[in-house]
Amino acid sequence: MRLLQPHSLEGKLVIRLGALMLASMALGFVALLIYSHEAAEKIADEALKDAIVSDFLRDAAWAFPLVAVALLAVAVWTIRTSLRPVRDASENAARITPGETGVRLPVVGLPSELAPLVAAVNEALDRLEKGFEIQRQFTADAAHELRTPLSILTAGLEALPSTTEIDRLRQDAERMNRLVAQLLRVARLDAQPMDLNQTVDLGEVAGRVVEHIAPWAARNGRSVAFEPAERPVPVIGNPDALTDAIRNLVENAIAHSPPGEEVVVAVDPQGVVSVSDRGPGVPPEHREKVFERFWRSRERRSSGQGAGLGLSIVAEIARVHAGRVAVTDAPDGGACFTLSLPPSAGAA
Amino acid sequence: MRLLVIEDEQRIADLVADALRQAGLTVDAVGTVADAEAVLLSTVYDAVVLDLGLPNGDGLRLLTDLRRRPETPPVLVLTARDTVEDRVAGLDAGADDYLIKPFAMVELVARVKALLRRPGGPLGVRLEAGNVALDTVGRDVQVEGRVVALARQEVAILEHLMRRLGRVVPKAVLEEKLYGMGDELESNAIPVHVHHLRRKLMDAQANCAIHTVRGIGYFLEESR
Repeated sequence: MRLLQPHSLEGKLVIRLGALMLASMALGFVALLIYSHEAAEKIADEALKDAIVSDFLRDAAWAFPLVAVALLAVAVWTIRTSLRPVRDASENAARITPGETGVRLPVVGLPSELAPLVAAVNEALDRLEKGFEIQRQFTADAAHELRTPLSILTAGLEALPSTTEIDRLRQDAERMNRLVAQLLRVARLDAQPMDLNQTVDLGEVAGRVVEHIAPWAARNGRSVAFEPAERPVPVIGNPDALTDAIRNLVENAIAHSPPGEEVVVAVDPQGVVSVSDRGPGVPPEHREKVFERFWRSRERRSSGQGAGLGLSIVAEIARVHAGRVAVTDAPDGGACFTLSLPPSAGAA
Repeated sequence: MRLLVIEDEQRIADLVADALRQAGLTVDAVGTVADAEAVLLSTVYDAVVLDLGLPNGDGLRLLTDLRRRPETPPVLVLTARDTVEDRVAGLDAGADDYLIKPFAMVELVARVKALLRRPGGPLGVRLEAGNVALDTVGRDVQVEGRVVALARQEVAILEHLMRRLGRVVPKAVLEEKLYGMGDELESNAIPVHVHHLRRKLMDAQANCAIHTVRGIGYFLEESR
């Protein structure tokens, strides 16, 4: 029982009411004493007088502390029940994030003195949600507006006869396409809620990524192989986000792989996807930095390749899934990226 | 083979139509849902390419309407929005395949041809990839008009790879299609057939090749 916290409403009320009652009790007791004595004065018999006074005191005095305790209990009970909705409201408020703007504080059951405050907060939340909605809409519109001219550019370049210069322009357009796609993915991750409560077979997701990316890798002179786990690897998360994460790891590995080499995607039953390449690897001093937004190695920066977004997207997706992404040396040289996810409750 | 392209962005419509015409297809292009509905009443198309982001009337609604008809051509949906909800909405409304803008024209042509190559489609009887042709009725395979002797399973594997030209066919799918539930299946049956098929195609100087995606399956690609 935390009755006497001097800064809580309950504590203040208990202290003040308690003091008031002690004072009134003392006062009442003295008054009664005087009154009973005055009444007894009129009786001549000394012994009877004393008996009346002590009888009266015995009968009346016990009522004071009882009333005091009852009053305090009612006060504490009233405060507790009236303030419980406030605690519920604060728990709801704690759930509000940029991705979870639909939460509103409950007004039902609140004492009428507090209702205006909560209503004002809810209205502020309405305005914030609208702001986020506009932001989201902007992301979707930007996708459309950027992609249409990019489609025209890409298709137009494809229709031209190949020359060295046009081939270079085609590569530039493709890079721009990838950059726009990744920027939009980043924007979406930042602004949009994601349903993270689906059961996803990590093996199936990784296999599908390899299936889709293999022809593209082959056209770029690389191959991709898949080493599945023996059985399904269920994890809790968002299948599209996990697909994005694994695809980014595989694209990154293909980009750093020498021609003719194989990128290996493996899934183990503990909920870990690893992507190994035979490229130059990542030196230990860069192993944290590679996951930062817009970070690129000196070579990639000077050659104008990549935007430094892919791996930061993977890191963000790992973070919201309470997972981890790390890079080590692959057994045959090259880099090995691992994405570890907490296995679902039913697994293992 | 006649195709309908519904795309409001004139430049994209032109480029898409040109690319499809170069692939030997007849193409009508319209820019609005109203025009699309008008031509669909009078003409039978073998496939439709639909931009989901049409301004006058929703592309998605047209797709739903198309699906209500008794005989509908396969629909390839183009979309600039790749969020999950948009994709799910498109596929639920009956799109047979979708491409996210910006896309490569070769990819678009490949996807359209894949739709036409479906069983029952106009390209579904005689499959072609590079200089290889497969007659799905007569079950024979020719390279540059010369018949190549293939085993029954090899023809079946090649058929699946040709129908999904340029896309991976999982080994599990091939096993399922080639062997019934009760059949004894050696774990290396498919790889052995693919190995023979690959050698026979090479000997016949086919200009398309079967690639292996270790751990997943195979895909056929025309050489460039």
